[in-house]
Amino acid sequence: MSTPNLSRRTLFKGAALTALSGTALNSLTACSPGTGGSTAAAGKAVPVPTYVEPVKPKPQYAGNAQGVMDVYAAFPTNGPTTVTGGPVGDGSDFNVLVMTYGQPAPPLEKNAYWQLLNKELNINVKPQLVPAADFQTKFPALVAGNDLPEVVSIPVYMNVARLPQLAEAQFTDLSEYLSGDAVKKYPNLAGIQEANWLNGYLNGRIYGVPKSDPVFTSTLYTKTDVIKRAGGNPQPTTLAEFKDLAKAVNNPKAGIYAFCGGVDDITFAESLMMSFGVPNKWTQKSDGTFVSSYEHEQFIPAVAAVADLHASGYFHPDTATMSKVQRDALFRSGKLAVVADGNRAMGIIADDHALEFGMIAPFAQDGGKAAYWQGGGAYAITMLKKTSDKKRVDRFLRVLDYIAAPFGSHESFVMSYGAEGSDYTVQNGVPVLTTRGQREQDLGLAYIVGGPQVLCDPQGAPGVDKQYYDWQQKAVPLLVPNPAAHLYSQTYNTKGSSLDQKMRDAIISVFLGRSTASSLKDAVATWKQSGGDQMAREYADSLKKSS
Amino acid sequence: MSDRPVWQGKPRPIALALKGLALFLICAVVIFPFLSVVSTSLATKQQIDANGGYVLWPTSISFDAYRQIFDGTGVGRSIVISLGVTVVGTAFSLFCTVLAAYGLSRRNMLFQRGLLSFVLITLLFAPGMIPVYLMVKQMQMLDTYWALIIPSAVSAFNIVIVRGFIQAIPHELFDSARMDGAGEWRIFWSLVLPLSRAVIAVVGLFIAVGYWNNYFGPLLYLNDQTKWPLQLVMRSFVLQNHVTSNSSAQPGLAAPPAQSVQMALVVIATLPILCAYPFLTKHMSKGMLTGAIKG
Repeated sequence: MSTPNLSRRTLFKGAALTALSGTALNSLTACSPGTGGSTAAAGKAVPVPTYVEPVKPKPQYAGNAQGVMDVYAAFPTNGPTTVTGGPVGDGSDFNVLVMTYGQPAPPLEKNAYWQLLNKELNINVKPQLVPAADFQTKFPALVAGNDLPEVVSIPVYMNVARLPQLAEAQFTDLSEYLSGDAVKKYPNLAGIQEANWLNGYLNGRIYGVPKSDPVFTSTLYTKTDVIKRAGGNPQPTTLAEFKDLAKAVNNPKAGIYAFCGGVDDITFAESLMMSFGVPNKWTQKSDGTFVSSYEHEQFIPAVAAVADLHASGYFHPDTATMSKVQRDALFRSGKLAVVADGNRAMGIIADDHALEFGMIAPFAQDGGKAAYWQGGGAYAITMLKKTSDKKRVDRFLRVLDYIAAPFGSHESFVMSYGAEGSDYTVQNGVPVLTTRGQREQDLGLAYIVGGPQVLCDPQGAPGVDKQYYDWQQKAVPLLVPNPAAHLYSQTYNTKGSSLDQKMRDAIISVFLGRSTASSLKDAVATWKQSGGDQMAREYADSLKKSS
Repeated sequence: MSDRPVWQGKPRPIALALKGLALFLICAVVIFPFLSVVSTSLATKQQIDANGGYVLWPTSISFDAYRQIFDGTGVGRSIVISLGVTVVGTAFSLFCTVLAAYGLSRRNMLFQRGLLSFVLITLLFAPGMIPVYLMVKQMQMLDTYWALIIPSAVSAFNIVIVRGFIQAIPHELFDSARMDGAGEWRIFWSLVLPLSRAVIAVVGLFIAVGYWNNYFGPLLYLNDQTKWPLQLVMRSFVLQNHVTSNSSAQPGLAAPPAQSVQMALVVIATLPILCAYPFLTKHMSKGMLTGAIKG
């Protein structure tokens, strides 16, 4: 239903500032939930890789297996080495296709981070970076020209057409190397959890190694100082209280608005859908059939509620055309009180020490039990071009094992901070990335593989990690999974993106007052007829096969 | 009532005022975006936040964004690449275009009509992205700068414009040149080229701007990011919603805001065209009008 709201800035800030888990990447949480089933498995013909909990330093605040993230005050500078058994690579080239949200890194000869990584991994990392905005253009050309490099990382939410068929034809089946206990040969990959691995299944077998993603989706961020000044309650627990907040803070004469959307953005509407109890994309009935959330009785009322807020003048007048950059600036300057975005996707948390902000805990519109949509578990999967050379496969997995090293390890520190002096300095015992260090890390490797992420933001706004941790404690018990998240639908794979776009357009049209809420009935009927019903049948079939 | 036509009459003050207002508004529409881009590139983070993302007039000027851009981001290299591709590409493209246009303007040329139809048909059917990619690959141009130059070197549209201009040159000039013993090359170099300067300048500008602004070719054909031209680098800065500099990793060290860096890049990318344009304006009106009349 949504497009992931990835902020590249926040994504990379994960590597730059928030030294997280193996790849120091917190902000992959910036994703809204994918529509499900994009790279999902048509059942599992081989067992899921055995999970072996990684050894980790004692956190300041402990997370849990359900998704609350560990919090650390700083990145340990003397962590243990987790990748043993001699050199990781064999000195050869490691050509990898990665979608990025950043700018080209400085070339190898001027890039201390890259040089260090090559030395540590004993390979020549040769990233082939594709800007996120152009991935859907470039990838088909590379496939058509048979020009995919040896290693290919594909964002799960990209919904690459006919990926299972492509995997079977062009990529290596990694099942015998990773399924069950076989993964224990690569201990850091064994630290990736089942929900993440499910994204790497294609045609029932393991083709991709996942880059895990926190369980969270979109969040309502509040400018608490503005709300408090206006006498509003920054933690509403019902829709009525939410409206009261908007009423209290909205002051068009002063240029202050309660809410804002953005171009093609339905994140705000999704937040209210959660409040209305709309299911996470699909519902599985007791007879095994699937029903779309668009058909849920609260879907239209939820969108109507957003439209009502818009009609009341609580949204910034530029909502329909506003870019994220503008919106963030308005939020920072106190001209917006509440914005919806992917988890930690606002560039607001880590880089603005003076910013006072909060997050609204999920609430039910009627004050009942709230719901919060759970994410798909992975940001990307990384695959190896077809080879029967076991040494090549082993080298590939050893490199990924290094990159996936858990937070606190020597490898993770290298991935996150690079070379001392040029990429980071130690200030009061805390490693601090230099501007050069941030820039040099734009190689994209942080996006390709990794296990559970942690919160570690020593340079962010004071208390930001604890605040986020507290919010997670409230959200995790309310998680609602998408039952189709790891099932395969050919219809979704081929037509899902355009069908979703049409529904998104219909929702935005109602939200902005261009159409009435009742028009959504027709939009849903068209969606069902054009492929929605077929998707439901295919998910049910896929589930049957997997069970 | 005056016998003079309306446009020769003395305008009334109200008409003058309205004209002035209209001109001001038109100028404002053109200038404001430029001003905003330049101002934002020079603004501080506080100003940008206070103004909701973009600044129209910076109260204090900072060149941090420009410093940041040229400090190891590869932008300097990409500018050199863009300039090189633009200069070589424009020269090569003009060479092909003018020669083709001259040939196709000669009625007595062998297969002239067939060749002309062959050129014109490319205006109707654009090749798809994948076929062009495969062709570039087969010609072993992937990851080379030639991939940015060759596929777009010849445009039927430009050929038609130049051909129309050359056709407008009086035949008598060609005849007299021939009577003086000039061959086709001599006529081309000594007669056609000097007389076609205006249209060559206009088409050259079109071509140069096309090469300078091209990001799609590099995106498809260049896998090595060290070969990226400015437009692709700029695209990654502007569209990807992230600029490294926005993260003030070093406490106390204020990095320039993302918007400033983005806008500074836009300024840098626009500058060469802005610099080249004044030198070509004298040819522009003549070339454009001639093309329009003959086209």
